[in-house]
Amino acid sequence: MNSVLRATAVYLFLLLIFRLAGNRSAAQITAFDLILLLVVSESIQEAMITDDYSLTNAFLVVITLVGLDIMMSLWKQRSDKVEKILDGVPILVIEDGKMQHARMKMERVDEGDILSAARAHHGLERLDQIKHAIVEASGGITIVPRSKAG
Amino acid sequence: MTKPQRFGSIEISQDMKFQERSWRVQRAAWIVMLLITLAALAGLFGDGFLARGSAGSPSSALGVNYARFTRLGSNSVLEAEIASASIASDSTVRVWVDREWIDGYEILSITPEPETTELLADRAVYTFKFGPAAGKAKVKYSLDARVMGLARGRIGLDGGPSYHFSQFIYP
Repeated sequence: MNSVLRATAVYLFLLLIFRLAGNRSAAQITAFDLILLLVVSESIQEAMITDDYSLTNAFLVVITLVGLDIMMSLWKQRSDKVEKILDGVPILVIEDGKMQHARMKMERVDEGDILSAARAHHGLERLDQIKHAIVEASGGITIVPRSKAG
Repeated sequence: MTKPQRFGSIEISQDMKFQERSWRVQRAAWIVMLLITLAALAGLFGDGFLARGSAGSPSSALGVNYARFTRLGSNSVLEAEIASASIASDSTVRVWVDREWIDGYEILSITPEPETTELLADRAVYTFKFGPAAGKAKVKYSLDARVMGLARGRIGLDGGPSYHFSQFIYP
């Protein structure tokens, strides 16, 4: 019983923390973020497992975590509101060629980030070649180039 | 998926009203996280100056140091300082603690080791032996909490003063 409760607490806590940290923290994974993620998993691991290193406990924890994830995805599918709360929504940071500075500031995205995404996915060179730039709910930046969009 | 709307030429499930609310919630949460960190540094969750509790005084018969906040499965210490005047003529000291309280802990060690341990209905009595020139005698219980929540303890000297103390044990 305890392992199920522990795993549930950990799942909900991490969901909350990473959602509150904002989209950007999860998406643009730098080498340091990767290390941070490893350290986070290491620190949470012992509290979740405590001193029970049995297979049963490990299996229960995994089933609980995966089960919760399935439940959440089902819930998200049924309710728009839940999906927004759990995943966030995409947001236009360049709308029809116009930069939305206030939104960029709040999303912690700058011109450099947008240009970097534009280079990576479309080989674009300048901001004026971008029609739309979107910070997706997943945190990544997607670009719609001027020439290709209707 | 949230129903996409059209903004200019692009169809996207952008929702600025929701977005602005979530930004506000995020900023507030960052402040809360900062406050939690500061509170943790101060010892609100154990291990810091807020967590250090004491009762009585070592200059009187009995002084007690206890952990006001501790956590399930983490070590804490209960210290009793006994004035030399309270050491009996056979150089023993009898310290007792509340049974119900101590049952919520696993005792990792007691320093010095008690000569005898006696369990009564409501208390556990430990007899320690000190040399004649021990001066102030100090007894240390190393404890590992097994029950969470509010714990009310009591410690005393047999035939001497006793002190109540309360602790909060985080999960």
